[in-house]
Amino acid sequence: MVKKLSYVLLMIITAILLTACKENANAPTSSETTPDETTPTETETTATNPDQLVIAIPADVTSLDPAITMDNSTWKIIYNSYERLVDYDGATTNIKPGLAEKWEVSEDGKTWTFHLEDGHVFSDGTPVDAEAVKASFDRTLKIANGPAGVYSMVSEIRVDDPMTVVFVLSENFPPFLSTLAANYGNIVSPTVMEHEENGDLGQNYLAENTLGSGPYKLTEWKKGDSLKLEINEHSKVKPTLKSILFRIVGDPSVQRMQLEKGEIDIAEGIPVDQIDSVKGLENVALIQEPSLLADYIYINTSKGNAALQDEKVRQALNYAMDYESLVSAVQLGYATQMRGPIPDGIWGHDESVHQYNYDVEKAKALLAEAGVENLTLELLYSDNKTWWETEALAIQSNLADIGVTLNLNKVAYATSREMMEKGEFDLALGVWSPDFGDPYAFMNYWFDSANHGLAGNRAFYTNSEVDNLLKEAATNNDQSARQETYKQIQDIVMEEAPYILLYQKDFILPMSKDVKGFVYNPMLEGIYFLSEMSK
Amino acid sequence: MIQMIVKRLGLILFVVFGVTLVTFFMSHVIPGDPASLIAGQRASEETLQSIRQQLGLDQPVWIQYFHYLGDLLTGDLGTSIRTQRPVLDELITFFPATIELAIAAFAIAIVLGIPLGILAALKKNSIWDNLSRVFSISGVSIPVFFSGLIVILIFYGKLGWLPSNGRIALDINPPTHITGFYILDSIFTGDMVALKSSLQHLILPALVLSYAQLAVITRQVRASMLEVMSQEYIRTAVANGIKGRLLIISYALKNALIPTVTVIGVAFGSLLGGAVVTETIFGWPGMGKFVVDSISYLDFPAMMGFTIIISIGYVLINLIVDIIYGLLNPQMKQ
Amino acid sequence: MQINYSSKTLKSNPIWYKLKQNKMTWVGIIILALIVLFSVIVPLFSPFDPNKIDLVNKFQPPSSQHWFGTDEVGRDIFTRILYGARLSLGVGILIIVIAAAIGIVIGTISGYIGGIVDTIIMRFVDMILAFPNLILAMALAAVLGPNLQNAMIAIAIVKIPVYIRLARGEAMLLKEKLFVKSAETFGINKGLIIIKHIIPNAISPVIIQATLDVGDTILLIATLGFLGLGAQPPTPEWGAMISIGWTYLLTYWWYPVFPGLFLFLSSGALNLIGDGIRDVLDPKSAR
Repeated sequence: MVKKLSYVLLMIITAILLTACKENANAPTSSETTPDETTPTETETTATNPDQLVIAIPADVTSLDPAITMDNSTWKIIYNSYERLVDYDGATTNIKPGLAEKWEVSEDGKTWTFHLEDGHVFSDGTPVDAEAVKASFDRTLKIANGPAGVYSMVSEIRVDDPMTVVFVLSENFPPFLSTLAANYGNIVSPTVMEHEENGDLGQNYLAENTLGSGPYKLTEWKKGDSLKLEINEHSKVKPTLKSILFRIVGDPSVQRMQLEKGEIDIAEGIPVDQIDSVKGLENVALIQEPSLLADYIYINTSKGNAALQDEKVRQALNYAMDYESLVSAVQLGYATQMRGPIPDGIWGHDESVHQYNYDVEKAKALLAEAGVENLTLELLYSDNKTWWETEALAIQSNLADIGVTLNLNKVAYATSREMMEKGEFDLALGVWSPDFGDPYAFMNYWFDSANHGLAGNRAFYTNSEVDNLLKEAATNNDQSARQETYKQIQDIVMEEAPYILLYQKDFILPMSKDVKGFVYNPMLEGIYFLSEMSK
Repeated sequence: MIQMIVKRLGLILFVVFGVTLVTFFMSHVIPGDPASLIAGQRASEETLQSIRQQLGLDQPVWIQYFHYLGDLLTGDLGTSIRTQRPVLDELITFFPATIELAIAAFAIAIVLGIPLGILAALKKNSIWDNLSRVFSISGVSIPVFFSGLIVILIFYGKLGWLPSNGRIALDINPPTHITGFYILDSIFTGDMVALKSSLQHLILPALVLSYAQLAVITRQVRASMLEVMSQEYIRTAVANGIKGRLLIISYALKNALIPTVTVIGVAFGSLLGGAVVTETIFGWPGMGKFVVDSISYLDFPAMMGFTIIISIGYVLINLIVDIIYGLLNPQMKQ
Repeated sequence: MQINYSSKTLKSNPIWYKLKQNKMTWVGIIILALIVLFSVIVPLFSPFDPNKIDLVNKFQPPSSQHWFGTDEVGRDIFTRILYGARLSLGVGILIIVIAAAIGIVIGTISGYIGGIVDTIIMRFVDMILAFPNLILAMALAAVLGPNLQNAMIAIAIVKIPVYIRLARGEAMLLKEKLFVKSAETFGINKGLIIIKHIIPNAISPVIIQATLDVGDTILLIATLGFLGLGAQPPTPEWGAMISIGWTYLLTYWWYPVFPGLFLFLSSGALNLIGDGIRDVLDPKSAR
């Protein structure tokens, strides 16, 4: 009988095996990366290998195509596999040459000419020239996904000679240069078209491969498990680290244990409220830098609860927040209360702008003045940020103190985005980080009535005077004049209070003390300059 | 039996149709714009529009559904909204990992569950019986996500005996892809290093996942053993002088296993469900983790693809179980 | 199941006697009774509000004041667990009562009337049963939107088919019985026969199944909560508490451990009781 039983078991297993194999055979495009060599490499602990950096990330990434991804966690994987026309200089928001050794901009700000440096080669051996740059941007625009939206003002890309490429803009857009230094400015080899399937411009290929001139290339992607970068021999840059492993570890507790045991060098998935547990570890250093990530509340000024259309009510809500406790409870003190919509670290930030403080009496008085009683509001948020849960509870209790009932409405991330687009909320939690080092990245998106909804102005705030000033600031090339205009706008919007500006978060990253050369650039949050790092 | 097989295969078609229909139309009950997640933090209306168009989200639901069904007939499960890759490709990547985990857990449940059940039945009302009862009641009462955390804390965190995450150590290359099951592949290729590492990675999640089903199987075996042993022919056998172990194995177990087989089919389905949770805790790169990630993106093609594959698998497993049942049980043969 | 379960046998003495003999069942009853008692009494006397946050006192370890410590916003975990007990037990029982009620009505109609109605209903039942429980509940909850009410609907949908099958099986046996046949010859209408004769006699196996199911249902709710598809904060639901708490396992162990323990205890107690009741009511199970 035992024999019979094992026979039965065997049958079940074979049957399942057969289905599994069949399915695999039916799909020639199986995405499993088969390792080139099957001989196992015997090493002790991965992280102690000085040639390899191991970074734990909390979740797997999605499409790696620079023309598609708008996801910071994907950018950090591919950023080092590509080069851009220009780059951010070290930790600053200044621009330095990249693929382009120099550039000029016309008087009206509409024509940008870039002169490429010789000797850059894509990972497949194709040289980087003006045609390649044009093809890369044309591809991005044609794919018309998120990154194309950033370049909507580009009307023409021209090749003047093999090493000179010209961008013609439809309107003056001073931050244009900074957009080229971000991940969507990555230049993709024109040979990507050899991998085209059904007219997808190589999207399917680039979703799982890299094809750029950066110091590294993606050599292996074990889905749901890890991604491996190795040196791109064709690159002009010669890095120290031979390989980089991004390891997917979902559980923060496990990440902490692995960091402690030296199995990983960098732990990205440890939430700020558990940072203290890492602080005590001997082999771990804590990177702490001010970031440009703003955390705040949208007050729906036109489509939400009618009481919110009254400026006094909005001010009252601003006064009701216990900013200090919020920062210490939600971010364990690793944050600073915001002063004005432009965060510290971007020019245009102004210490003289009005800042709301915690004043329950004043808040109550303002509510009474507005004649509002028994106000009940709904706060919309999602699981997008781990700390929002705690934050929502804290806000709920703050508002209860001024007699406002706050109902929490936590929904799926996609749902929250749709509800924001349509304005179906009273209050909503939001975070914002700039894509370029210019006050435009905050002011024009947040306050221009043309940007109502997802585009940025999710408070549905409308003020024609502000609109005009914003336009003026956006099309002027004189920085000091722009700064003056932005100051004027800040004074108006702080008074009218369509937002409750909470805090500017710090960037916190637990990292093994062995890791050297890490540079934090607030414009490239969480992105590593791998070629400058070592162990 | 042929009739039953045909009927079951018909059920698969019906199930797939039902799943797609229900999911597709219910998905439009709740608001949620997947396009806005792909477009980045600030997205202009034009960008959103263009992405919706590419994903076909701009068309009426019923047209979208029609397209989906059409593609389905050609074996195309659509494109994942989150990863922008064909859903079928994604699932095939993750499929072997989930099945390997489920089979390992299944094997543990059977190998331990049957002897435990027999023991409990033979020593009815003894301390062993009661222990086995406590053991199996705990099994169905402790949630997988909780027991998972506890064993990680003990075996990885405190004792450091076993790894906590993934299918194989990072510095070890997975075995050459033959079946996609690391254990089998490394045996086939004689890759002992990979085999050791995969086994170490497999043991904790498989144990945790198997616990609940182990409990169910133990109870079932005990109950059927007791029932069979109380029957006339066993008593006759005893009277005729066949005794002890031999008796149990040759008579009782044979008959007691028949009802157990049906439980096993259901158990495998529950294992697939439990695998979803187990995978999230152990960072096991299987389909479950993939689908949990898809949920917050409202990635319906991915969710539907997953449900379709799992339900087909489940119906097939139950079909196989019923065929075995038919072979084991002579009364079923008509 | 040829045994005719009449409502009388439910009340008769041998059962009570059998139940008394079963020690494990009593362990279950006592544990459950304690949890219920605590969840009723403690909130009356507890100085803590389950949802009121107190940021100064967050992550306090267990002490004489906070028996099970406090969570990430300073709420008393003991208080929250007991409010959670009301919720989990209440919701678990509610779901099963609803699922069983719907199941028995549909099942008896299907079994008694037969024909095309029966075929259609059974195809739907087969369809739902073609999914692993958790997967279907997850899919439904995800599609309906993540909140407690939708999770309850999802679980009820998953549970109904089992009851339909049970009740249908009983109804098919009952409709051949003499007392039903004679009712038919008297021209009593079918609806009345189902209500008066079929349902009361088919209810016993449904009750057995229901008691066994409550524990499982509580786990399902918690699992959905754990996956972020069930009760939403600040609701003190056990699964949701563990879901947030598990990330703190290493630093503040009491946060996930105590809700987990209560989940285990109450589900275990319910399973013991369910087991006991089945042993008593169902002569086929050999205990």
